[in-house]
Amino acid sequence: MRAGGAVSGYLSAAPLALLFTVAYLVPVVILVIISLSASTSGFNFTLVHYVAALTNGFNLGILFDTLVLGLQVSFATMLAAYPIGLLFMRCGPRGRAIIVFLILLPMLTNTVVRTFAWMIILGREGVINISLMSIGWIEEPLRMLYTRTGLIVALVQIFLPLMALPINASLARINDNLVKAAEGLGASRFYVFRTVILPLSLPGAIAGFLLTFAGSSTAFVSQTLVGGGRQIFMPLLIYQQAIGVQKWNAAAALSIVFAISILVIVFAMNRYSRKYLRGMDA
Amino acid sequence: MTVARGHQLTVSRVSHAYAGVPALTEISLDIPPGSLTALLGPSGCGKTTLLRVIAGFIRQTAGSILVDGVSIDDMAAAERSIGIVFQNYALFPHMSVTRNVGYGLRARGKPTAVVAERTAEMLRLVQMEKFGNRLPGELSGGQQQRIALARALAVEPKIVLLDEPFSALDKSLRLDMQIEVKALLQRTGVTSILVTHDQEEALSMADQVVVLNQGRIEQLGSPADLYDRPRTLFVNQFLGHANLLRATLRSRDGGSVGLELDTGAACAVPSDKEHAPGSAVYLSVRPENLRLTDADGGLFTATVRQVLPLGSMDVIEAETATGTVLKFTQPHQRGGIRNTAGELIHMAIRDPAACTIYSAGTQSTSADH
Repeated sequence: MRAGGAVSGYLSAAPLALLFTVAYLVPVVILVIISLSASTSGFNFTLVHYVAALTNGFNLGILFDTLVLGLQVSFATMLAAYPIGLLFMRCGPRGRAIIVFLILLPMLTNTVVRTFAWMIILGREGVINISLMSIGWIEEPLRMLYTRTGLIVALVQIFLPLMALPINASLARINDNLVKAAEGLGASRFYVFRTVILPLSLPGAIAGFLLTFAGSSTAFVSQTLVGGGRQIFMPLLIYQQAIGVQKWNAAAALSIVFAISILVIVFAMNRYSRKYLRGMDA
Repeated sequence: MTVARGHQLTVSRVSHAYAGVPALTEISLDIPPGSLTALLGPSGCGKTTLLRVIAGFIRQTAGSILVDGVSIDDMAAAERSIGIVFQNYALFPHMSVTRNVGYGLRARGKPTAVVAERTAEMLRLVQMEKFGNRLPGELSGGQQQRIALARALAVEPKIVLLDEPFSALDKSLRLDMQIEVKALLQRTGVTSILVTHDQEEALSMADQVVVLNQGRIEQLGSPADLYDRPRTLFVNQFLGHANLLRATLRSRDGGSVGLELDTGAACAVPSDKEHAPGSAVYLSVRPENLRLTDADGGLFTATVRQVLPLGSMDVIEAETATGTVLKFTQPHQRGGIRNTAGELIHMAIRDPAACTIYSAGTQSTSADH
């Protein structure tokens, strides 16, 4: 490429870089500064908030549980996305367009609205309970809202597009003859999936997994509304520290610790998956 | 080798339609144990559909596929014990050569030791034992083809299907691979079906050639049979080149007919076909059946349009006085080409018995090729 081409490339990326710097990087830097300050009045360097964040058993428990929730949701979403992907693989262009449309359809509704919809579905007098009681399958309403399972189900639905789209894309790239070749060699459907389809679609699945993990572990509104007040995850903890008890510096330190934890897991998974993919080649 | 020798494949009155559009119509053929049969035809003739039906990837609308006389119609592809070599080989890109070759054995739950031993044996058979740790992407086209064949043969299939296996190879390599693959298939004794649109490939490799056209069997026979005695104009034009001379049938005398060519010349040709006297026919003459002659012995004259020296042969294109363009060949002679463009030449037919006659008008004169 010509040097001039590279320069003009940087130039055309400049507005976005500027926006990114002002709207994202600067707030993050400010957040780091606040987290390293003793109080909000002036800057007095201290690590006390980090020490508190990393030694307080209550905080650490919530951090761990939040990351576990993210992993649970990501795995469940992946399990939900693969059947869609396999159907997508078998469809013609028309069928595929319909599937993509159906996947994208919920995204036209705001996440907050979708969260309220889940409250209506899962609630004590929600759609499921009323239906089950009216056909006489249950006497008492089931407790689904404000449970972890209910929360996971809602988060799976909310983050499904982020998982299904990359998985579909990587499944669609698999040459159909590879599947036929495997079947012709006597492989069962499941064996073909395990040895050919799954490994070859793993790049898409990992991309979806990381997006879902980062999204669902930080999903403040859904966690709080569907999960209820008794389940506290990091976003709510940070919110309480900042807005509830006005401990801005502690909240900032918790935010940085939380963000770094997610980044560490994302990078570790990325590295591991690459290693795994390479190992599978040999 | 422990490959089971000789399984008979029978296609019995198989028809298939895609959404009501017929792709195959009443196909019946017998593929003898251990033989190599070529399914030959232009694209859209139904050969790929037939291959998919045999492999079990699609279910035919009617008819039956039998192996050793037993129907396999209700078996899934994975149960049929039919090996397939795909056009682009379809090697698993994320597996090493060794794992590719051993795939079918592992899928069948064979013990690791058996898989390893058999894989090594197959790699030796295709002379690729040094490439076991490579990925398919690191192999040349010919090497990938060998691996694809080794993978298909490793599970000791009853039948091997080869779907346009040489079309992705460049021409110089193709002939070598054709010879190698034919030798391998003969050595293992497995019944094989080769799907191809390349008539040279079909003629050179197969024991039996099935010419398909528009979902029907046009003709079935040995390569020599099809080339020398094409039953239809389509087969005549699809296999090799056919020079078609317009003629009128003037007389019939026992096993031979008297023709008057459109150039005015008369000739007698053996024919057992029923053509009414006075009917318009095509006399088909293969390029190697035409020869140059002097003015006295000539059947007709033509003007040379082009001379193409193809190494051992010169191909000459000439036009008759009535506008029919002919191609004929003659062995190349040291010292250059004998004829030049624009030259008037006299031509004769070497062997009238090797000519075929088709009625004009009832069949399309241009093969879809």
